[in-house]
Amino acid sequence: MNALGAGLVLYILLGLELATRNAFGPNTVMPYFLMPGIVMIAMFAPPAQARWTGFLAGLALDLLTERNQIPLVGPHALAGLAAASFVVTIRGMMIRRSALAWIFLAVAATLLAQLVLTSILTIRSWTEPTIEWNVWHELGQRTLSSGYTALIGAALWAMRSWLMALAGLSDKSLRSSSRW
Amino acid sequence: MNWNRVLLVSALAAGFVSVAPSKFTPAFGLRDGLRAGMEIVALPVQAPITWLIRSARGSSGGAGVDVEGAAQAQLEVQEWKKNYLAALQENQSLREQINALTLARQLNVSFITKETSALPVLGLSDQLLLVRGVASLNIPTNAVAVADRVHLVGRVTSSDARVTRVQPISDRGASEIKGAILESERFESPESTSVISTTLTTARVRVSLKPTGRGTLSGLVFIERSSEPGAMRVQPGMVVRLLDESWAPQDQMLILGRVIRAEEAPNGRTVVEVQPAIDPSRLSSLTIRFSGASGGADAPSVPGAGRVR
Repeated sequence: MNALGAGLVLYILLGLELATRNAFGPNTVMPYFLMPGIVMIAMFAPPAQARWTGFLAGLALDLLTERNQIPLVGPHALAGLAAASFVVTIRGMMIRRSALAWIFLAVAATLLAQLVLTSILTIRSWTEPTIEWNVWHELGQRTLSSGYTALIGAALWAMRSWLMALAGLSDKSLRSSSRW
Repeated sequence: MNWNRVLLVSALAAGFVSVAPSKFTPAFGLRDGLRAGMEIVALPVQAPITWLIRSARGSSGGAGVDVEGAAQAQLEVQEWKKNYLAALQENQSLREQINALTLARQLNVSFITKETSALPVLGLSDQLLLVRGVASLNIPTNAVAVADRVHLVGRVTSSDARVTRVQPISDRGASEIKGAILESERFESPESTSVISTTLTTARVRVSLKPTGRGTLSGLVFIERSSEPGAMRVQPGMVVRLLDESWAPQDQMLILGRVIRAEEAPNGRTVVEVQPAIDPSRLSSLTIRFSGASGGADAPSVPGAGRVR
């Protein structure tokens, strides 16, 4: 894996994620951008690098977001780590050249990450009552957003050859012709 | 270096920082600096995309209209309105309480006594009201529970640090209670709990009430020895106040309820039905009045009784 190239891909996706959140507001149902990027790297990178990528990308998102003016460091990092670990665990069972596999992993890993995030923030809202937190509302919105993330998964699949070359990722299975 | 182990330690640290309150993580004041750095780094890619999205939304949602800002402002206005109305309601409630207390104080000079702050009602159990207990206070049995400071709800049957049980006066098992109906007082309206003083007369009749089992009290009107017979006619809407020698002096003139029915019995005497102005089953909070003298038949005789007139 080319760390610089992977970082650049994630940097662009992070920018997209922040820009859309800023433009539409934090409580809007919309796709996640960063998580499919983590999934893409976790599908092809060595396990340790995949987990570190998930953790660091989540940490970057943590540092750039806040809830009720309270910056929370850790929740996204753990969510990213959970998503990357999930993908690393099941990637052997997936046909990685298939668009459906990309979409499925993007949605499932995002859903898992959002579950981890919601659990952590729910616990945090008990210890920090100033954080306004409605667990069912958040869970509903995040689940729907995870569903939308399928679009980003599909978009990344469409650009896979370019993105993977940039991030220095390779897979023998992708050398054969792609199929649905 | 074992990077897997480093990742594990980092994840544990992140887990701790995620759930621990901010005051336990002062060392992470560093994160403000990191955050500022990250914002600068993210800006080149974030700003153009934000601008593009906002431009696209602006052109589709009406030029120059900040839809999000307007929605936010509307929410704020609603929040302010809600707070204003709540403050207005609280103000009104406090004014009514002041008036009611002033009126009760005029009728019974020893009316003001020790009382708890408003205690939340937890629910009803076996017709007893369960009220949150006060750990720091030893609420005596037979202490008096009131709503809105002047409406008699019932007596405390038992109390501990967690819960206080109150038997409403309208409960079937509650004992007989004596009251007075003053000609000068009326409830403001059939639904209101506010009392208004209508005339300057001090005429009154006494009434002896028993619970009916339907949430009301009923009993015969009798005239005090010093009163002129037939001088006062009891009507629905009149206020019934506590005037009972078996209750402590400071509790006299608490409001028992409103007359909802007044009929002449075959023997020529008037029978009244009284409904507590505040339904105990709908109470959200009440206060407990108590003093060393509070309680039962061993309470001292009522100095205010019979003097009102």
